[in-house]
This record gives sequence, C-alpha cells and structure tokens, in this order.
Amino acid sequence: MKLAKYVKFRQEKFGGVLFETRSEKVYALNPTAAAVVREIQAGTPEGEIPARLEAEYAAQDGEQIGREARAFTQQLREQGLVDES
Amino acid sequence: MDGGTSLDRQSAKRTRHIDTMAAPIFVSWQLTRDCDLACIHCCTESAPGKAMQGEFTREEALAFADELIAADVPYVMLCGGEPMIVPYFLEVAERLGRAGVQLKIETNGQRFSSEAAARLAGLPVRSVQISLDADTQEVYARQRPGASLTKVHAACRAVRDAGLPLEVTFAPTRVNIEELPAALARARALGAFRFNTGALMRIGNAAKNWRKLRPSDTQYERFRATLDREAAAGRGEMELCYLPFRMVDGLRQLLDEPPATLLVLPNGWVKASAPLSYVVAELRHCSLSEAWHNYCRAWQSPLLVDALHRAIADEAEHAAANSWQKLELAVCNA
Repeated sequence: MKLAKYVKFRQEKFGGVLFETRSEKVYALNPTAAAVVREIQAGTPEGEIPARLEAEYAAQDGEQIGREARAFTQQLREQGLVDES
Repeated sequence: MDGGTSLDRQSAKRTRHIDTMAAPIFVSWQLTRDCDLACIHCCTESAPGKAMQGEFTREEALAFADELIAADVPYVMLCGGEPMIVPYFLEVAERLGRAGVQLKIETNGQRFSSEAAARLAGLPVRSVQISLDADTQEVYARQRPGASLTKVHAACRAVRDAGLPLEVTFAPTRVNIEELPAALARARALGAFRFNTGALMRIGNAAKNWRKLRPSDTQYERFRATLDREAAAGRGEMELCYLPFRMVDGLRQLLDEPPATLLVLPNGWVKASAPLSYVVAELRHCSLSEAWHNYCRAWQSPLLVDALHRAIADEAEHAAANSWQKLELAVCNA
C-alpha cells in the first residue's frame, strides 16, 4: 500500500494533513491517523501497521489505537487516497 | 485534530485551523504580470510590457522556490500574467517538482510547446490549465485580442500527448458566453479532466469593462442551465467545476475558514485574498514562515474582516482588488 499519486502528507503539531491535489481536498489527521500515514510512507505492510502502533503506543491503550489504525486504513482505501502496490 | 481517526474532509479553499499549521498547503504564485495577450476581462490586468515594478529576479524566484520546498508546501500553482514568457519558468518548475512539490501550471496556451510539455512530464504535475473560453477564432480573438485558438488547441494536445493532466477554464463574458456548449464539447474531445468556470469576477479589466462584459441575467440563466444539465448527465470523463458559482458565495466561506493558501504577487507581495486589496507581507523583507504568520494574524484583523464583509455585500468592491494596500504594519505590530 502507498499513498495515491496525487496525495501529499505533511506532519503537523496536531497530527498531519493529507492533501489530495486532484480534487483539492484537505484532510486533517489526528496523531494516530498521521502515524498510520507515516508507516505507509515507510513501506510498512498494511497488516503490520496496527501491531506496530499498538507496540509504539502501548502506554496509551495500544489495543484501541490498533483498532483505530485498522479503521483508518480502510477509510483511506474507500476515499481512494491509497493505492495497492 | 478531530478526536478520532475519521477523515475530516475540508475544501482546500476553506481549510480551517490555519493557526495550527506550520506553513501554507497551497501557494498560488504569479511569476509575472507581463503577458503576451491583453485580454479584455483579465483579473490581473496583465498585458504585453506590463510587468510589475520590482518583480522577482531569477535568483530571487529560485530562492523562494527553495523556501517553499523547505517548508514542505505540498502544492504550488505557477501562473501570471503568462508564466511561459518568464525565462526561468521551467527552472522554477523543475526546482519545485524535483523536490516533490505538486504543480499546477496556468497558461493561455499561446506559447505552450511540445518541448515544454516534455520537460514538465518528468515532474509531479497535477495539471496544466489552459484558457479555452470560446470555440470559434472570431469570438476567442474578441475576448483575447491577438490570440490564436489554433495555438490553444495545439497546446492542449501537447499537454495530453506528454501524458500530463489537462484542465481548462472558461471565463464567461457577454462576448463568449453563448459558446459554452461548444467549448465543453471541445474540452471533452481534447481530453480535459476538469472544466472550470463560474460567474465573471469583477476584478481587474473585467471591472473596468463591466458594463460591456457582464453577461445578462438571461444569458447567465442559460449558462447555468447548460452546466447543470451537463453535470446531471454525469459523463465521468470530465468533471465540471462551477460551484460556488459567484465569487461572493466563496467569500462567505472564508469568514469562518480562511484558506491555508498564500497568493504571491510577482514582486513578492502576499495578498490576503484575490478580491481584497490588502497585502499582508513582503517576501523580499521577510521569510515564508513570517509571511505565513502575518497571513494567519491578518485574518484576525478587523480591517481585513470588515473588507471581506464589504466585498460580500457589494461585488463592486472587488474592483479595487488590484489597488494594493499594505496591512503588514497593522498585523506585525499588533
């Protein structure tokens, strides 16, 4: 999985922004969502992303973060913001 | 930001939370006010020999491009005037594009060659937008004296032949508005992925020639009906982009949600918004970061907010958009 051709990501203090330039739509991301996008950019396989974040955020309810990461990844796919590589 | 992982979709033109962003997400950069045409409706009042006093030099333009890259600005539009007459236009585009900045190029198409298209094809070009606001040479040349519609069509083909996304724009005036159906068909045939239009903006030359150029209510009704019908037909290969139809409708959205966009003039001045006259920063005297800070603070300025209210209440206020007033001191010293 990778970000779609016209999708750009920028880290922000609040998390990040995804900008789909073809439609000129902007998506504001919370820290968990931004972390998911960073993992996608780093080439982490989709199936490994929740576990990575669960480990990374273990002190902050890692299981919840893992669930959110799975849901967010699905949203990215539904919105056409990622391509299967 | 929204407390969950759901996507919080916003329009690029009405992005909220600008105060929490480190930099703009979109920069519209007029490389020059000079142009090879003198269009009767031009919002920037561009014309041959009408470069702005103190336009960026090549070195300054490339340095500004480096600032945009360093600030991780994801999307930049290069426009004018006519960007293709700027000797270092391709250098700027390549500097930005090779760093991963997505580009939109706005051109009148008179000089857009296959060679230029080939150079741009190696870059992350989101689109090349070409003015295609008539379908007969006679009407096109009345709206854009001296322009060749044949060259415009050739430019559109050069864009598509190079594998670049083509976007067209149609500025309706009393002169050309009846050619919308033919222009839509032409744009579709040329392979445009998007067709941009809306009511004529009362800015620049259009404001000066308003009585002659403003389409009648009846003309606008037919125009809208055509667009609505085409949109309802849902031919997926070309998106119609015409809402909000009037600039004032777009301005209302700015009151709560100023866009994370900087409008940069050829001399490095930063405008608050296209139809407003206020300049909020001068990039010759401040960094991009400082300009962004000024811009964000400017939207808290009663002067600017009042100007926006007046622009919403009376479209005639837009006519002063190009008589720039500096808001910089009021903002910086606040």
